[in-house]
Amino acid sequence: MPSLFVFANPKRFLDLSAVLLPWLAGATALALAGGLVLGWLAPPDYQQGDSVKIMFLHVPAAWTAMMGYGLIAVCALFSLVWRHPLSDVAAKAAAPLGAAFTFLGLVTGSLWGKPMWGAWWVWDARLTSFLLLLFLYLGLIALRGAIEDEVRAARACAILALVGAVNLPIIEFSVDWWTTLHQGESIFRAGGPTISAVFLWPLALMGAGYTLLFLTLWTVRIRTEIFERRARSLLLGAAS
Amino acid sequence: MSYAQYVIPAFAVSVVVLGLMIGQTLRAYAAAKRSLAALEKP
Repeated sequence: MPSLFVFANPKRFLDLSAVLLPWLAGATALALAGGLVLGWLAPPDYQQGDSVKIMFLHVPAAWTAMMGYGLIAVCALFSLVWRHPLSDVAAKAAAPLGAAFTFLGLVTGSLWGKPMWGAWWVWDARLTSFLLLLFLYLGLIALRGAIEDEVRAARACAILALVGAVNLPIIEFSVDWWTTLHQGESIFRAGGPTISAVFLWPLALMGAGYTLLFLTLWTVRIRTEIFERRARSLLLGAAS
Repeated sequence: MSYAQYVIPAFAVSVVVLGLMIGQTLRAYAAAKRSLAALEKP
């Protein structure tokens, strides 16, 4: 994978991300603004009423939370196999963002569940596996904080991230494998989405906005981590 | 009724969590940049 390593060079990443960041931030703002306006203008659903609008916040948060963990798992693989330091930096930078999006997915899901199901929470396979995702994120953050040595921390977190990645297909297919209160797949399914375009467009824009927001903040956090590591090595160099 | 009870709280919690996340990320970035610049000063 020599071409990937060219872009994974910290110096090159800093140069490239400095150019990309304003575009990413601009695209995020546009997608979120469009999604919010269309979401606001969307009519009440014939069954869900106004509560359908919670979907425009809940579904993108859940998508982004899962995407974040998927990215961490890929970075963990690169970190374990090729020992590339930028992979570990990227995995470390993504964990708090993923935890925040997972928390949002859980809270907004609960706020939708109460009027629709009559319960804030049920120990349904989808909800429980998604709660486990939050614990995995918190576990990664805690494990990183518990190990002082950066190399050992990177290795331990990469192993945990890869083991935890088993939870991603469980979340995705839980609605097919088990009988759940949570509804089945209604967007990315064979035969096309089952929801009306008037709801699909705000959902798609909000999904793009949340994804772009994650990528923007992730890029900023990777840059932050590179700066912090460089500062630490300068301090160590000065001390020795 | 569900607007005030559920939709607005869902929107509010999203704004607060995302706002905190953006704020924390930008503050940490500015601090890291400042401290590195101070160390790299000849």
